[in-house]
Parts: sequence; C-alpha cells; structure tokens
Amino acid sequence: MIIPTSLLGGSVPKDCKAETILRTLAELGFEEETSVPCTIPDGVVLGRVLSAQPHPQKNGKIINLCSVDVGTSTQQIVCGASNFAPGDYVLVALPGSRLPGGIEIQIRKVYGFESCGMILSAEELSLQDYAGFASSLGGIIVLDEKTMKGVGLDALLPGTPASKLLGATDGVDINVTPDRGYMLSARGARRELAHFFEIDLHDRYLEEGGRGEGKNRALPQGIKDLSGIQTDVCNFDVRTHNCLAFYAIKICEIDNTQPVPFWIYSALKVAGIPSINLAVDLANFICIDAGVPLNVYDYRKLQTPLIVDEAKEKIEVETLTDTCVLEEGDIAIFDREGVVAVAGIITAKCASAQKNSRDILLEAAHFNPSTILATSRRMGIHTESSKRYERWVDPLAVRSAALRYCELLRDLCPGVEIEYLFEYENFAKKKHKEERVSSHPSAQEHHNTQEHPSAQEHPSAQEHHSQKEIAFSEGFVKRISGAEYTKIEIEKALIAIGCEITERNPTPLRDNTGEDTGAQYTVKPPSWRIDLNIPEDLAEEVLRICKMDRIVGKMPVARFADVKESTNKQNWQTGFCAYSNNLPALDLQLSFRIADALEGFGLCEVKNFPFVTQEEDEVFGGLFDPASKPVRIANPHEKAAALMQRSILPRILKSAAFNLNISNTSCGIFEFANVFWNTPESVRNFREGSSIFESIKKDISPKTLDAMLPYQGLSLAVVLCGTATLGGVQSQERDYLIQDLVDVFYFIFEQFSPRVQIHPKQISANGFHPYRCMGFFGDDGTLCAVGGQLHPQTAETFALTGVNVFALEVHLPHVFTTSNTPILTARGTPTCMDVTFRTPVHLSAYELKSVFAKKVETLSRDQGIILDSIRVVADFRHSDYRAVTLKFCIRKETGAILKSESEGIRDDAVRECERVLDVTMPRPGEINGVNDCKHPEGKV
Amino acid sequence: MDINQQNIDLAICRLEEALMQCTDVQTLKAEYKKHTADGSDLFTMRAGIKHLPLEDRSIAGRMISEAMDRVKVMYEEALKKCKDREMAAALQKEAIDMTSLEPSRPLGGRHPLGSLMEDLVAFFTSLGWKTVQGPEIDNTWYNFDGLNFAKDHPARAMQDTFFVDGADGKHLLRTHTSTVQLRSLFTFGVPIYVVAPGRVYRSDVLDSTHTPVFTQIEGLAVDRGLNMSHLVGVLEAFAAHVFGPETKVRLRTNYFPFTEPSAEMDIWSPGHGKWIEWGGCGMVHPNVLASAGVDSREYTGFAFGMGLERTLMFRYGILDVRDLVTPDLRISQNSRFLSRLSKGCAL
Repeated sequence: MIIPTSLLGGSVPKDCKAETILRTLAELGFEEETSVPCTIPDGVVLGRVLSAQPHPQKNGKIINLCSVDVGTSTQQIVCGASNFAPGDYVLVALPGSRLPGGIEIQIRKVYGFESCGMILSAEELSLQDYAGFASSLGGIIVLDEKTMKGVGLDALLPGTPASKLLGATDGVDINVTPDRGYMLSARGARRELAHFFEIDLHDRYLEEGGRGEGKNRALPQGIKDLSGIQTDVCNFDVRTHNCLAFYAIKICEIDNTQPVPFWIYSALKVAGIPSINLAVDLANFICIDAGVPLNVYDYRKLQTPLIVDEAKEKIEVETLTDTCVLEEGDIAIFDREGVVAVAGIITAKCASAQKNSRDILLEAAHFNPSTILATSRRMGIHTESSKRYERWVDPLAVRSAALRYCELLRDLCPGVEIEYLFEYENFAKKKHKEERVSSHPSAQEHHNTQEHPSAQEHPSAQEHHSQKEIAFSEGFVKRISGAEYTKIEIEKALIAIGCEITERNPTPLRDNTGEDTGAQYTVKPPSWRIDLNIPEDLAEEVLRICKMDRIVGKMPVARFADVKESTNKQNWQTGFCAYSNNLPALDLQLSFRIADALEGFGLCEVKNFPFVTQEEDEVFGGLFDPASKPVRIANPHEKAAALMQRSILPRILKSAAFNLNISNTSCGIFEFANVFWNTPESVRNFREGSSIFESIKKDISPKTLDAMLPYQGLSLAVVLCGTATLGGVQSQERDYLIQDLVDVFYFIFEQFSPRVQIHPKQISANGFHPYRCMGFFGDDGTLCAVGGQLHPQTAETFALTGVNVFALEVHLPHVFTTSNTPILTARGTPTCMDVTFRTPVHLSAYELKSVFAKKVETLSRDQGIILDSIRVVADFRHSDYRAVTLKFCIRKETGAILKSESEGIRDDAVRECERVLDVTMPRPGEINGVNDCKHPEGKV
Repeated sequence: MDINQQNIDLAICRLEEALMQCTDVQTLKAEYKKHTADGSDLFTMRAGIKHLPLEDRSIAGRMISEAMDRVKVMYEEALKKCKDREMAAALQKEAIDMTSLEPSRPLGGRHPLGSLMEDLVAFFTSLGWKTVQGPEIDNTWYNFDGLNFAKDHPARAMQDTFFVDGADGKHLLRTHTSTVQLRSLFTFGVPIYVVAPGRVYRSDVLDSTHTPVFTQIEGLAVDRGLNMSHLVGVLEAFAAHVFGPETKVRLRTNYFPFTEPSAEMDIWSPGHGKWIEWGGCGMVHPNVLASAGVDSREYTGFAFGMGLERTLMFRYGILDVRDLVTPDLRISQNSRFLSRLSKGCAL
C-alpha cells in the first residue's frame, strides 16, 4: 500500500521526510517496501517568463531564447516550444534537478546558447494524464487561473518549489499484512504515526458523520435528507445479510469534465491510481484516504429500483475492461435492467460514470469480507475496492466517508444538488437473523466487530466474540512476553490503537500459574480492528507499540512428555518419523551420513525440483511399486511438468546431462529427495474418507488423515557417467565402469547401522539395460534398491548420448536393517581358500555364494570358527556353462585352524552346494582358464 | 709364512684396501673370499699353526682368532655400506616429482543446503531438541485449518499453493514446515521441543529471490511457562551459531495466523552491518494448541521458521537464489569450502 505523505499532515511533525515516516512505520511493525518519489521532483520551481526571443535554426526549428525569473535570479533558458509569452508562469527545472526517467538537468550549450535549466512540458514531468495540464498538450505547461484554483496569479512568487505550489506529494510504500485492513488507508497510517509522535489525532471519519447517534449523525449543510421517504422516483432495497450497510447519495448537475485539484491528482498518482474523471477520482481519493471504497454510478443510466442481492444464477457482467461471470450467491447491485455492479469489486460498464455524466449516484457500503474475497478470487479480479473489503472496511466510517466525498465535490462544483436518498445499517447482533431490511437506522444497535460473520469462521474467535469485550490484564502481557511493561504503558498503547478500556475488579483470569495478574481490564476494540479478538491479540499490540527490545533472552531446557510405546516407531508411510532419543529422525541422520560418505567417494550432491513430465515419469514407471500411480499437481507452473516424481532418476539424469554439457568429461552425482505416488489404498481411503474434512474440528484422527495421503518416502539416486579417474602423470584416465556402480551400492549399504539385510538379484527394470540391472531385496522380498547400466534409449531420452550411464536408486524406507549381534573379536589368523564350481549359465552367483556361506557358517559354529568373508572372485562364461570361483576366509578365535578342519568345512560346503543347486566341482583340467583365476593365496 | 703380528696386520690391511675399493655386493663378497679362503695369507697362517711348536701354538691361535674377528667386523661394515649404497642408488632411480601429481578422483561435495541442514540439526540436537519430519504432500488441515487459517482467510491468498489434482483441494504441497507443528504435538504430546527441516512449495515464479521449491526449518516448543523471552533466547543462540557470536536479534510484530503475538525476526551481524529479515516467529496461537488438544491455559509455546536458502544467501553473500537451485554440481564442489568454514562459527 502506497500512502501519499501529503495525507499524513497533522499526525507527523512538520517537514517530516518520507524516509522518516517509512522508518517510523517499520518500527511500528509495518514492513517497509520503499519510498515513492514526489510527482514533481525537487529543483522544479515556478518561473516567470520575462522575455522570449525567437531564433530560427538551420534545421528549420525555431528556438526561443528566454529570460526567466526563477526567484533568486534571472536565468537564460533555451526552449523549443513557443506556446507561451512573456509574463506567463511556467515550471522550470533548475540545473541539478533530476526529472522522472533519470534525466539530470545541467547547464549546457543549446544551439550555441548557454541554457541554465529547462522549461517543462507535462510529458517531461510524466504528468500528461493530468487533465488540468491538458490545454498545454504538446507544449510547455503554462499555469493559468484554472490550474491554480483560486490562487490569484499575482500572488505567485517565482522561485517557489513547484511541488509545494501545486500540492504534489511523495509516498511511502508499506507491506500491509492481511489482518490489518485499516492500514490500507491514510487514515490508518495517521493513527499509527500520531501515537508514535505523541500528537493529538483528529480522526474526522470517526468523529464526524459516522457514529449511530447524536449530533455526529447530522448531515452537513446543503445535503437534503430524503432517506426517510421512499420516493417512487428512485428506491432501494437490501436483500442479503452479507451487506451490512448501504448508503446512496444522489448528486446532480456536476461538471465532470473539470480536472481534480492537482494535490488530489498527485496523491492518486503516487498511490498508483490513474486519473479517470472528477467523480471517480474523488471516490478513489476517499478510498485511499479513509480506506472506504466508494462507487460512483451515472445516475441517468440507472433503471431504479436499485437492489443489493445475491445472484440467483450465472450472470455475465461487462466491465470497462473485461467481462466477468457472477455465480449463484455472489452479491451484486441490480437495477431493473440487470447488474450494475459486482458488490465491492467492480462496476458494470453500463452504469459507470463517464466524463459527460451530469448526475451521479454515490454508493457507500459495507460487505461481508469473506463473500467479497470468494467472488474476487474466483473471478480473478483484484481491485482497490475488493482489496479493502476482503480485509475489512471500518463500518462506522462508511457513512462519514460518503459525506466527505459530498463536501469535496461541492467545493469543486459549487452548484451541485445533493440528496441523501437511502441508508441501511444492519449491525445487528445475530448474523443469521432473517430480518427484513429496514431503511431506518436509528433503531439499530451499534455495530461491534465481534458479531461479524467472518469472525465466526474462527472456532475460538467465536468464543471471544460471544462477549462484546475482551478480558485483559496487566499480568497477561508479562505472561506472554516475559518482560515488564507498566500499567500506564499498557493502557496508553491500547487507547492509542483506538480501544475503549475499563478497569474492573480483579478476578482470576486466564492464568492459573498463581502469579499476580495486576490490573484487570475490559477492552472493547475499535470498529476498524476485526483482528483483535483474544487477549493475545491485545498483548501483541502492546508489544508492537511499546517495542520488544526489552525482552531479554533466556534459554529454556528442553524436556518431553513420557514417550508412549506407539510413538516410538517410525511411520514410513508418510515419511513422518520421530524417535524417542533426541537424535534426528533416522532417515535424515542416515542421509547425512551417506552424503558424507559419497562425498568422500568423489561424488557431488545435487538438488532438483521434484516435478516431472508424463514421458519422464513413464521411463522408469513405478520402480518400487508397480501398482503405483503418479501424483498430479492441479495447478503446476509448467503444464508439461505436472507430476510429482515417482523416482528421482528422471530429474537427476537431466542434471547429469546438464553437467556433462558444462564440464563435458565427468559426472558422478547423487541426490536425496522424497518420491511420491498414489497407491490403490491411498486413493480408496481418500475416496471413502475425504468427507471427514467437512467436519474436522478438534477430534480428528491423524491416522485417518494420513492414510488418505499419497505414499511418500526418501530416496537416494546416484548417476555415474563420463570420467571416473582423471589422467595425470601417474594416473590413467578411465571412464566409470559397472564395477563403480556396484562399489557405490555396497558403499551406501555400508553406511547403515545396524547392518542391512539385503539380497542382490539380477532383474530387469524399466529404463535399464535388460542384462545389466540388479535389484536388492529385503528378507520379505521387498525391492529396496535398483541399479545398473541405463538402456541406451533411456540415455538418449535424457540427452546422455555417447557415454555409458550407470544409475541407481535406493528407496530408504524399504531398506531393512538387521539387529543380529555382531561378532566382536579381532583374534585368529585367517585361512583363505578358493573353490571353483561348474554352474549353469543362468544361476545367480549370489545364490551359490549364499548356500555355500550358510553351510560354512553352520559347520564352523560348533568348532568356534568364524566365517570372515566370502567373495565371488571369478566368473568364466562358456557356451553352455560357467565356472564360478568363490574365495572364503575363516579364522579361529582360539588359535590356528588345522588343515584337516578347513578342508573338511570346504568339502562339506561343496557337497551341500552340489546337493541343493545344479552345480558340480570340475575335474582338474576340465575347465580352461580356471587356473588363471585362482588367487595366489588360494592354496591351503 | 711366519705367524706374527706384522704379517697378520699386513694381510688385514690388504683386505681392508681391497674391500674399500668394492662398489657392489658381489665384488665385495668375492674379494672377501679371496682374502680369507684357501690360498690367502690369513688362511695360510691359520693352517700353519699346527706346524708350530706346542708352546707357541696358543699365542699364535689367539692372534689369528682375534684377526679373524676383526676381519669379520670389517667385512660386515663394508657389506652394510655397500648395500646401503646400492639401495640408495636403486631408490634414486625411482625418483618422482611428487608435486607433479594431481588428484585423479573428481572432487566430491555436499550440496550447501544439505550441509547447512545438517549443521542446523546438529545445533538443535545439542540443545536437546528432537528433529522430526513430515510429509511434503499434506492435507489442508495440517497446512491451514488446524493452524488457525480460517476458510476464507486472506492469508490463504498470501501463499499461492500447489494443489494435488483429484483431491478436491484437500491435498496440497505443503507451503510451510509448520504442518509438522500439529503432527508432532499429536505424536509427542507436551512438553515438546522439536525442529523440523524440510522442503516446502509455493507457486512463485523462479527469479532472483523466489523459488517454487525451497527449504525451511521450523522450531516448536510448548511447555509450562514459556514466553517470548525463551523465544528470544533460542533465536539469539541460533543466530549466533549461524552468523557468528556477535549477531544481534530484533523482533518486529507481524502477522501469521498460527502465532499470536507474531513477529518478524531481523538479525544484525558485523559481516552484514545492517538489519536483515531472517524469518518469522511468535507465540503459538491458542487455537493451534486447541487443534492439538493442548490446554492453552496451562501450556504456552513458541514457534519459528526460516528459509535455508535465504540463510545461505545471507551467510555467504549469494545474491541470486537461482545459484542454489541450479543442477550445476559446481555449487556443491565449491561448498566444500563453505561447509568447512561454517564449523568455525559454532557457539
């Protein structure tokens, strides 16, 4: 919200600069954006032309060599325009001044003459849209009686700063949070600044023509009160409880072609509102000054009666710029012909006031914020008006704002006739009272914010709203802040923001700590503060106004409730995971450890957005859950990338291509990210249970809610391609090999603690090389990791051509850890042996290893022998069989293993393999190359 | 040949001369043999002992045996010298200019966001807080309703939200890590002190200061007697950990539906020389406590949240957030330097 500083007079010290105001507002809790420069820059002054000598130039132009009185001196200025004469008052930019657009005025030679400044046109000041300067269009601005509005030209002093003379203003731009609608007006800022600078505030919108009774209610002179009479010429009705106040004033015989005074134009311009015509500009001015949106109709275009009602069906409405569609329930103003305005948002084209309008109808109203919000959001139309109604317009200022409008207009067009036609106020206690509209306000009660319908949306706000007042205490401020604020400070702060406070007898209140709660108050918030509902709100206001710098930091000692057994488990289903010890959630902790390990491996971590296209998603499909379906975003940024990733691989492969493009040699990267998918269960749970959202209050069941969410869990992906080892004096350059991928796999599993219990298996997976892909499975057969060489087509899809690409993904929630007691001993000399099997081509080496290892373990256990390691060390592929060599090492804690012991174990294990699997021990010399693969240490 | 000291010395002297001229072990061994084996003077003298008169034999025997001992020592020394020389020569042949060797493995690196998250989590762990996480696709109740965002509250328009298709506006990509507030209150009950780092989503267009996907860390403490001084205490220690011990913290009131009072937190550090906005915080709104079934008359709490991207930008003077959300791995390689530095900033 940009507030013109000219509207802050009377609430800030004299000559207070925009920067000071901005800083002050920031201190008061309003986030500063920036200051907006004055519509007429510094250094532009009033000048009086003393003489003007035309000098024709070779290029056909005629320049005027002028002598201009600029107050302190007379300057020679060269001017290209000629729409002025000696004696005229003009605007002069003196050397050193800077025009909009950044042009700096300097003394310079123009056509051979020295020119000490510039006589300005409206364009040069970016004021071409100001109707008051329109007469001088194309030429320079010549100030005349009309522009000066009553100031006699004789009274003008050359050298006067133009901004002061014309009433130009600069502005302060602040960011207004949604709870503080009142700050979308100069009125709100005036209040805040006045209490900061300790200046007595005169709030005309509060004190004049607003409140429900007494002499304040009297209409200013010259306004005819016809509201008690329902004339048959024009009548009104309000038929929706979402309209809480409605006033209609008819103003006849205005001259809508004349410009608004420059000071109003300037205020609007600074606030970013374009000048339209007199009637509309004034309404906009009141809008930024009072924060009350006013609507101006061309009275002659209306077909009375005028009715405020909810739309009963879809209606298309043509506005000045566009068309919008009203839906059932939206509030609108109807005349006999149709919609004349979408309430609180925008006027229909057919009824809006134009330059040639002579009679206008002024509408001032108060609407329910939530309906305005819903309508404007659905239509996608956000206007100055809707912005304020959404955030709450002070209902008690609506009438006074309308009357201020009338006064301003009457000053500008003295001959106008003003008729106060209609008023309706429904600030009744009960929201849903189906009470028919009465145009008589006097019987109505005072409004108070607490009965406002939108407030009832807050479950606990309602609790406070059931009373008219908020119970508050001195001690409550301390309870919230932990710092001392005196009784006087608290009272002053509450009064400053407009609250009415009464001290009352102490009764225990909101504090069962047994502490002295000090003075007790009943606080009635002001009509413009819908956000003050509970004592905490008031405490915040006290802290805001008295500052929080006296709060001294204390470090609390963390403690926890006794952890129930059931909460001590991770809920991988939704990724929510919490442990009873104070270590980080397990998956997070693991991800840190693995990331550190992979960094040491020479890999780089990358981060990507988790959005993928349909094609990218389909490359790998549901890697870890074939029944899964991707989660789609309803309103994605890029229409194409609307799916949440089911695997990290698509995005990390794109990343790999990106990096290969830059470094064009090496790319070893990894990424941790959540993956998402719908399961048939989650979809069914949502279908069956989503109605619970309609009635969620306090008694919700987190489990039910979570069961409806898509599956989510942390995955880790690694991509290896390009150079693995860089060439150098002592090193050979080589590319990543499939062995590197397997190394990374086991390296990752090494990081789990306790150890993982997983089983490798040759598999084929979408997107991977059909014969170079492996999966790791848990004991129960759950797939927890997939990896291998990419299918050449996949590599091509991700623009990774010409290199072998290896990739893996580990889905951490699927990785099982085992809590088997480890053997913690370092004694014994190992004995290592090789054993070679003749196996069928299709047999998995891991299967052979497992059977062998299991038997070795069983046999050794009784003899106090430990199986240290077992590895596949050779695999020779022949046409119809393979030769697979295992190397295993055993040791004995208590001493050396006898040859007979070790050979006995080996032979028994071999026999077991031959029995269980389709394998045999080859006869010596049967298999070529077997000897080559034997490890030298293999001989016992 | 007479067996006398003179002849012995002479023989030894000759051997010594011969040994000294040897440069390799093989020659040395040959020379030694030549001077001690059959036919050599020493050998001849030793063999001549048995021809001496009985009374002279023991003296001559002793002289010879002493001589043999001297010779042996002499030989061992010469052999060692020779071997050392040979080894040195061999090693010299293996000379490598060690400074010519470059690392052959590519440089690995953690992403700065990952390192920072670990660093922050470690800090709160040191305070005895728990770290928890919640799902990134969450429902509107945890993200809005339960956190006191009224149905039509304008605050919902503050954050443009990504919604899940086909979920009737009930499921969304969480707009803040505050979703974890209620989740942890349900899980742990009170008292509670937790932080929740994680990814959040807002429908902002990617530019130098906005990104649709970013990272936050949320803190929540609910206990008896907590007030804003505790909030300030935690934030001051946290800011000092992240930005250095001289960092100051300032609160300015602001608006968040789920806290009351709410404040914007600014930090000042000598490195920046000005106040910069770091995050939001406040006392947990009684309605939020009510959502989790906590009695706000008995318990009060505070919460805070800040963006990790923003934190990194402040800490390292990064001007464009796109440098942090790029897939370019160089940001991670360079962050090795940053993350090591950060360890120096600890309390």
